[in-house]
Amino acid sequence: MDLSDIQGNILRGYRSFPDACFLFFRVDRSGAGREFLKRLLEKDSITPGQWREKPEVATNIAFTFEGLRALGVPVASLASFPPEFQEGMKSRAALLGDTGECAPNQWDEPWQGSTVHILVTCYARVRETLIGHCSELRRLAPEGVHELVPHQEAGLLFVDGKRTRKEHFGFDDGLSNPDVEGVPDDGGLGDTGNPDEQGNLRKIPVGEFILGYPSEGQELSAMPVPHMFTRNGAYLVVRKLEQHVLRFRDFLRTQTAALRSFPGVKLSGGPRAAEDFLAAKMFGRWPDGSSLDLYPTAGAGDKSNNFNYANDLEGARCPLGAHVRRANPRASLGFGGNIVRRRRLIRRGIAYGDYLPQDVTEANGGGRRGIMFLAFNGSISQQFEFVQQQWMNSGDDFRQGDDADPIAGNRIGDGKMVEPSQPFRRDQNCAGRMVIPGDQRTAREPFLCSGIPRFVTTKGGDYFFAPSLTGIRLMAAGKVYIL
Amino acid sequence: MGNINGKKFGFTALFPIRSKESAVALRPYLRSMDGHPYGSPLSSVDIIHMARFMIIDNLAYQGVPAKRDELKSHYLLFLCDFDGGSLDVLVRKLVSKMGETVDDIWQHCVGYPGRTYRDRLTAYFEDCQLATTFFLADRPNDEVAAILRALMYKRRFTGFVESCQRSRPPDLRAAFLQLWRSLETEPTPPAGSL
Repeated sequence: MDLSDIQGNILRGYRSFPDACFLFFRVDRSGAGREFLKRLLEKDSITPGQWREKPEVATNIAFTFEGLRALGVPVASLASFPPEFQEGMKSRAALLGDTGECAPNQWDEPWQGSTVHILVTCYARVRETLIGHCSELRRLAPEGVHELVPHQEAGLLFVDGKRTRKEHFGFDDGLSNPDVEGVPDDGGLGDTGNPDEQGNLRKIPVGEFILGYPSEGQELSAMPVPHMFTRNGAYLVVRKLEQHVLRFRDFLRTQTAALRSFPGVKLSGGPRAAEDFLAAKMFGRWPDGSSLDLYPTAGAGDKSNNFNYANDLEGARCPLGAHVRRANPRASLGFGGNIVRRRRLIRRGIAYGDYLPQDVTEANGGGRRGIMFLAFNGSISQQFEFVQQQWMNSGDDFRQGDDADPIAGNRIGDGKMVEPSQPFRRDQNCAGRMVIPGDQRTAREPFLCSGIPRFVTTKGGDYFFAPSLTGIRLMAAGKVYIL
Repeated sequence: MGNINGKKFGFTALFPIRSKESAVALRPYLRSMDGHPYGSPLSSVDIIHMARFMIIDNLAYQGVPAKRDELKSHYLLFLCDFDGGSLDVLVRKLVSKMGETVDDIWQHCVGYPGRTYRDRLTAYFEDCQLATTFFLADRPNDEVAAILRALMYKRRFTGFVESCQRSRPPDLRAAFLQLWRSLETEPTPPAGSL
């Protein structure tokens, strides 16, 4: 695997680059677009997976289908890209549950009114260099390449004055990115691979994420043509997800009175014990990252991934419908975890907006916040879209009926009967529901949370292709040929 | 016969589409069916458990070395599980319950005889049918009405649990009996209303 040809943000986490900026461009003339790419390459602006010297700002680039078309990629090549990428995320909003308040007509700019052609992501080690770097990139864009505004700033959250890897609901994030074959260790615990026949974790074939390599199926996954253009590339799913923190905290408060007196519920100490308990049950981890499977009663500061739910198939410790259990069911769907082997995602999300301190209320709260969700995969439909449709927005595989994910799932229909005079409408926003299974060992009874509002709304996004450095050079030179 | 499991019939057919332009017109029409107030116009056909439409545009072959393959036309794939022992049962119901919508869909397909002559339409469906050699059916002996009723019981029971999970046993029993009596007289919900 040639890491110098694969873009750096795919297999590297950029953990030491805490501030980011996303720039969006539209290409009005293909020649201008290719000139822009040429200038970026001449300046060595695009960061590969293997660098000679660690950059101050890691910069990467990706293109939507319309972006590839605008840059003059031949029709025969365009036609060989998968249909979901060709259609783009906006067209597939209904499939993804982006309806009602998440519908594209509610998205932020530039996502709502424009089609982004080129995404440039900049991750900086020091925030002050980021602004200057972005200005330089903008100056490289010739006439005929137009920046779409506004750009999107993001960065690791400051909580109590310290940089953290928490997301806005207060949970440690990015704890279980896949271990990939051929990638140098980046300091992780090495416990996030896929299970082998003996149930031991092993690294995941890189072909699950990068085109041109064997995947879990031991074959080369479908690649658009020409292969020289698409090899070493990956599909990138970008979603701007707004997090409604006050809504989340208010919900926890409304449920805690019932929880505190519920039979068998044992809370750890602390004034917010009931909220933390419920939040953990909804997430599947404690705010400090400890898994409920390993630590069912309280967090222990252990962020490891040495769990697979195999001994918690009824969900007594980690509820069957909890967020992290849905996102990666591990061994809880049986067959030694083999069912989930092809549904992994490399997530490179980063927060935007300021963290809301605990003492902020509706009256004095303000600002918007959320996460720029970025996920790399070798097949958008088999990986991201499968997880979104089957595991986030549906509960069938987890014996949860049509209950969606309590944190990030959509809220279409609340399981109530529909009167014939008021037929069911797909864009109707309703409240969600989640069962917290009981625990026979501790005599805790099952608890049904209902009236769960939508905590996360989609505010933009699209499907991108992140070519290799070779692919970018071919596009810049106008030499993407089909023979 | 491979199509039958209990009271259910599993049907899969490939209908060749007249032209690329027809395929282009048909796709958005099929997508627009998602906006139907009861989920789909097919919900009015009260013997259908599940149905799916798909347009097959092309068969791209990827391999080493990669080569393209061409089908003779675009195809409309139609899959349908319904209560009945023969295809004629489905065709009769499609025509009587969906009316013009049957024309709106199948008029784009080669050889479609129209909905006026049911025998010809049944024969057309049979001609386009793919042989089913094994039909795995969930709850093969439960007809649509029975499943709708079971879903209704499940929904009502969930609502009951939601409202009564903190109740003391005497109140719980009284509430459950009230639920049970109401379920006995509640009408079966129409398809697409759940």
